[in-house]
Amino acid sequence: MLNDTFYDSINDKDAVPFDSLDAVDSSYFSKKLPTGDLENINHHVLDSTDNRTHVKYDSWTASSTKKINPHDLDVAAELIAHRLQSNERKNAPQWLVQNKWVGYVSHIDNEKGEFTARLQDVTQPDNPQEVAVFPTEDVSEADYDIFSEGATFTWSVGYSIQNKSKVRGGVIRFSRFKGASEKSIADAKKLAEELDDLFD
Amino acid sequence: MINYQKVRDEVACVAIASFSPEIFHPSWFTKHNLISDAELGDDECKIDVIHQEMSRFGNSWLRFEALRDRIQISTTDFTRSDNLKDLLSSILSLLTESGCKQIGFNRILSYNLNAKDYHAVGNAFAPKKMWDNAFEGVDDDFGTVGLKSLEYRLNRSDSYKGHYLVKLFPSGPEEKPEITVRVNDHVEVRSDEDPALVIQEHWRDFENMSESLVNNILRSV
Repeated sequence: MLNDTFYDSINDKDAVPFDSLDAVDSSYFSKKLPTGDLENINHHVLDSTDNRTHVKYDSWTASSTKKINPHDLDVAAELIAHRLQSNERKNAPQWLVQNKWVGYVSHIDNEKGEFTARLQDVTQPDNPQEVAVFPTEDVSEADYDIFSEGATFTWSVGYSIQNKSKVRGGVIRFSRFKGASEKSIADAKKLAEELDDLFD
Repeated sequence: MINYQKVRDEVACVAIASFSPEIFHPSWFTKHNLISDAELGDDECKIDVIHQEMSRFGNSWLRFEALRDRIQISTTDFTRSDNLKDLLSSILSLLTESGCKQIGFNRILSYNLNAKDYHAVGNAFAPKKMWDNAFEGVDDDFGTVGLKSLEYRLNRSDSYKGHYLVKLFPSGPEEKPEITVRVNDHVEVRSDEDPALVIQEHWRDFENMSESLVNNILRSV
């Protein structure tokens, strides 16, 4: 488990226990990196190509080499990366989705401030299609430019967790898919023509 | 049967192909209407690097990275899963000459457990007794053995060529036990397939398969 001491193996008097990854994030790297770079910690990479720890940041600089067991480093790199990403996530609301539908906007009523959509449950695909009405204010400002009749979206329902508070709710995200490539469409047309010829 | 509670749900997707990383400036994405202006504005978007070898930027829901041989996009917000699907397939649809050969669909699910259930997971996949016996003669003070990570590979049996790679590892501090399962759904794109359509067609199966796979694994403990 995590209580193996990865840093003990490098016999460094400044070693930080491997199970204290929060401490690795803040104190270990703060000793190794120039002031101000710590905020970029999410962009650091631990590399094991030559059995040494390379702490890279902004993709150009490498520093801090210590000889350690390469297997431990692999595991450490993964866990540290995971923890660093966890720190990043702490500030963002976390959605735990329980049900998801794909929707198609069939009608927009600007006077009532609502829109009607056909929904297909993708969490339980055997469920029949449904029709639902949503308030237009549920559309994110970032999606205003693509909100129109015919637009497709996903409606995710679940829990939003932020600062240990759990709130049930739903969120709508519109699709910006550009469609199949021109080559793919041309290939499909060619196949359709070939099939059509079979009926001549 | 153990009790586990999902605490994080992330998605990451990788496309292996030939790219020119320097083209992937946020303005390229807004020009093609792949992401809205509002989500890539100066206040929203943080650019790490735009260079001929690598481009990397992120906003509140997306992390984008392009190298010469791959693009990787990820989100920690599962409500954005379909946005990720649309973004990667649209990029490959616009850049048909990139010659995408492989696509990796990744789901990373993390769960909180109580200490007893946390150790039950480790014991189920790597029984401690066997390892304790194997380390005969080692002083007890050395510390107890335990599962660090487990990886399992299975060739796929659907219409695609490729495999599944599932990795399970402990991911929380000792006082807050947590395990993470990463499901890698790897697809080799055939020359007659459009990678954009492979992503569009396979995405829902990937979402449903990864979640039910992890539930099946944990329910079996």
